[in-house]
Amino acid sequence: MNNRLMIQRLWWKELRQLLPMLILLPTIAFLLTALYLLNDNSNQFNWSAGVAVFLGMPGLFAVGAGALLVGQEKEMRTIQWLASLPIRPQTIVRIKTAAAVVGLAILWVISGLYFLWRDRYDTPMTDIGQFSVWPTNSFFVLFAGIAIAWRIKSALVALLLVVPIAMVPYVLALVLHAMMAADEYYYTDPSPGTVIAMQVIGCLVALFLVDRFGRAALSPERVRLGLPFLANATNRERNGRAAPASYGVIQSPLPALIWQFAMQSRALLIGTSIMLLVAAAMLLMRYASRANSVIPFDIFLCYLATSWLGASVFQSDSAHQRIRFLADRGLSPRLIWLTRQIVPITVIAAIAIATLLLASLVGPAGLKASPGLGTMGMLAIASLFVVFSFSQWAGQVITSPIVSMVVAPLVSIIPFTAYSFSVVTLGSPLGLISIAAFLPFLATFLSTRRWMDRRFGKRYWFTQGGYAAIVILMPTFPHFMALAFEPGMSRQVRKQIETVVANPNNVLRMPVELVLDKDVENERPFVSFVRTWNNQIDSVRSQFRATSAPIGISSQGPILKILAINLMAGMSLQQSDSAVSDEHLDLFRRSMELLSDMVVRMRTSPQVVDQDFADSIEIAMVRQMRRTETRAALGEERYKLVAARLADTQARRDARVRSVALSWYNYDSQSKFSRVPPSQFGGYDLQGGGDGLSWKNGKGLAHRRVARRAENLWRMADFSGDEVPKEWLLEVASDWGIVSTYYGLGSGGIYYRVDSVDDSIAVAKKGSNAIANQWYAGWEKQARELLYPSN
Amino acid sequence: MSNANQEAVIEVSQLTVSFPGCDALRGVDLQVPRGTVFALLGENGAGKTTLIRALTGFLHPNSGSCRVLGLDPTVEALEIRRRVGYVADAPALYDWMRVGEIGWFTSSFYEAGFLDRYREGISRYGVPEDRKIRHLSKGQRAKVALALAVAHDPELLILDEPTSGLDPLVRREFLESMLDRVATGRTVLLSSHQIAEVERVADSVAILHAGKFQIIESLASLRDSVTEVTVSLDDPLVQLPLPDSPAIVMSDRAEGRQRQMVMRGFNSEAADQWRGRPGVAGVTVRSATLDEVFAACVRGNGNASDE
Repeated sequence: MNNRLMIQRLWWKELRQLLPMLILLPTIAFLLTALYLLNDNSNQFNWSAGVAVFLGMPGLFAVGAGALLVGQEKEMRTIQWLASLPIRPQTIVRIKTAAAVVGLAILWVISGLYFLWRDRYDTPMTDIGQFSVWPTNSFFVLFAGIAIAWRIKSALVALLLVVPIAMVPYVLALVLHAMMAADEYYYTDPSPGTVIAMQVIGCLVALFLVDRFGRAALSPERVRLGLPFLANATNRERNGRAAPASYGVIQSPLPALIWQFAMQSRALLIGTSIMLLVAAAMLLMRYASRANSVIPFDIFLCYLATSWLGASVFQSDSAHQRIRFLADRGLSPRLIWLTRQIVPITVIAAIAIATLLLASLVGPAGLKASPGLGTMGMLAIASLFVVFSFSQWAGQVITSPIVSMVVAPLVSIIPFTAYSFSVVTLGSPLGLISIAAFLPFLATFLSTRRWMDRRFGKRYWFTQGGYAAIVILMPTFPHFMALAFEPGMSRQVRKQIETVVANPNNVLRMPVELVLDKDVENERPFVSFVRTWNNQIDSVRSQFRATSAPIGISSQGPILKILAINLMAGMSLQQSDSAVSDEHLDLFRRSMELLSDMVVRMRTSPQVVDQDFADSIEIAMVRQMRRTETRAALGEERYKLVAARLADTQARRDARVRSVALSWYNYDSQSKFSRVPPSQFGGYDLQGGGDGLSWKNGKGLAHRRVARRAENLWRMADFSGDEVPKEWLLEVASDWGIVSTYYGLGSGGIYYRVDSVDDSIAVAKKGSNAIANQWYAGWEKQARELLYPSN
Repeated sequence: MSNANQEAVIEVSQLTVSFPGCDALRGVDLQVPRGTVFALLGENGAGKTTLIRALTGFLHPNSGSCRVLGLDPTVEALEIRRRVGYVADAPALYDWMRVGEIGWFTSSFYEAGFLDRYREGISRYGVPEDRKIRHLSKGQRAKVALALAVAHDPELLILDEPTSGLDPLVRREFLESMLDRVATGRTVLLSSHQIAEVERVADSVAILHAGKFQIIESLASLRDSVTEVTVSLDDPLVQLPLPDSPAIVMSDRAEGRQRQMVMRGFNSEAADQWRGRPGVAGVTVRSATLDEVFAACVRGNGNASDE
């Protein structure tokens, strides 16, 4: 016998058994990370989520390796066959353990490579200490899991027991720390060094137990002689004199199948129920005390228990091909599906709802009073069912019971990452997400027949692949449908815009904000007020001279205040006191001139918002100019100058056209170089809108929809008729999600779109949220009439 | 061929089932008449279990058709399984249930009377009701599986190696019960390696080899038509001419000065012809046993092919 060859072959066998997990776990981890990276990768949460996945992956392996290498072999009795070969028991035990260590090390290497690749891992000493507990803990969990698997008959029970045992080193560290720090006033966590020390000790103890339990399991079985009264019972059985057992009334299929599932899975049901109850208790205490935990163990426990319950739906019958018993008898797949789902779902729902009720009715004061407890609670329950939904699917698709129990938790994270991408990045409707998240139930329902018959051919896998594609891609359908069918900007308009942008006179120069002197806030008696504002006007004029840039309205203060002063000065013209009137007259003239000059500079702004604000100012000026005393107050020359500017519709039109073109050019340029689409167009916020898309992300569709909006604005800006068609106004209102009243449509519309300066109540306001609502309204005709009364 | 006048509970026509690298069934035809014990024989890997899985709807054929109790297994497999009693070669049972418990559980899927018949069967086989299935021996598990399969009194019983692991007494008892069932008009399709048992109970046999039926015939007719011919030769090199048609050599084995052949359609004239040949010391003709027929079909060395 070639000892070396034997050991090589044993290594091969053990590693081959671990291969499905070694392939599945990193694959799913990378898939999850890719999904996270689809979102904005500067988001710290996404980075943390990626870390969690790559820390959790080796942990999951450590939990399941013992059950896979030892427990499953014991259940299938292949361990007996192995023991019947001429191999020393300790060789089998050691090679199994070593293979598991190698597997875990491979996964940690993969995780390490991931962290290096990300290159964002900030490594202050405390962080290294915190994260270093994970690898050592995973080795402890691995050895503990193997030891338990040798000791316990059922692989599934062994898997369940690993979870509480994984906490033992941390609990010991806590106890030790509490004893040593008993005098300290503030509670502190045990140091990473203490935790690691406990874990190392735990590893040594677990390794000792692995060796001991493993050898015992592979040794010849000892026959135990029963107690006398039990022996009599056995004799009665043997002699056929035992009374027939009575099991009650014969059930109909539904309750019989539910009973069968519950009895068969009782260890798992009890174990996971305990996990859920412990998690619920910890959650209640944590939220009541508002304590923050670095490791939200309660949430992890809840999630793991739910995932395992999901995986058990089909795995409970897959073990030993038990489902064939029911398949052979022609039982309805629908009935089988239903009876497998009822019990686990009931367990989860009962505990979750009870926890929520407890929290809201009799919980600690802090928790009862928590705002949004109901909403958050319902969201949490919905999340649990999403985890369950995907886990039960994994339980049907993955044929190995232990591999499915280990991989299912990782699989159940996929919907959260994929759907958060869909919602945040693609703006998918939540209703569609909800449907997609529960489609796995339909997938398993439709596949139950093949699963029962164990017909896992190409067609089965293609079908499952198809379901997976639908589940993941369905929420993206609206986005891609819109991308395919929604119109963007026509080629003709694009060319026209490019022509305008290419004009060397149309420079994309962002506007400058005016500022007021601080003294304006200190309003003194009436006479000083006039002098102060005259000084203010001088200050603004000097700012004008200092720059040739356009003037913008990033702040309400300066321009609105000057407009207000102008209005007040205009009203004071009616006063009879000639001394006061002269100062006010002067203030009125200077403010009118200033406003007129400011409008001219605002018209050179490349932003649409500045054009609209210029419109608001001009409307106020037109109202002033139409008053009978204004002409006399300004003097003929000044009046004609201001009137000429107000009457210059062509200049306004050119300014609007230029602003739309440059705003689009600015948006388009920013969009090309930014991962996230720009959030503004022409100074207007792109949030909201009639098309319901979130503007924060979703570059492709956002770009297309903004292009359509720009085209509608362009069409309006370039208008040269008498009256803008109502359909155009409606379209713009709909594009930007603005009530059509602001565009003069519907009841009360005349007060918002100024067709007559005498009727409206429109007030110049920063960032008036009705883009282009005054373009070519009736006030422009009134402005022309200032200069050309017959028009 | 089987008696075509009797109604067939199983009809198979040009059935083909292929797996990657292997043709398990190659265009087979079969008819199993009602009220018979029909034995399906074949060596390991011949395709017996594949055929049974196709009949019970666990496998969809690549081509051809089959009908069981007038139903198509590809479409109505569930209904077939409800009306048929099926015992697989390694029956799947819930090993955590007790013997009585599994009967009580299964009775919920069938009509009234199942549990009583199941208990009767278990009692007859001597399996304790309150023992867990995981603690039963292989033979006891087989008894439980059998008892479950017959308890709902199915029209057709499909048994894949049913007596494997049973002790001789129980085996005999089981076989007798098969005959009782047939007497009441039920049908049994029995796949087995136990040729001696098949000989005792089967009305018809079909021998499957490499995915094709070599023989499908009633046992009586087979006994009449297939003979074992032993020719004693003076010299092992003596050549014997092939017998005239309709005689067919199914297998031919030479052992020293004796040639043993299994032949179909071999008559006394042919035997006399050989006796008269120089070098032939003697010719002995007797009815071939089923064992010999089976070996001849499987090993070949002749031109045996009959369906």
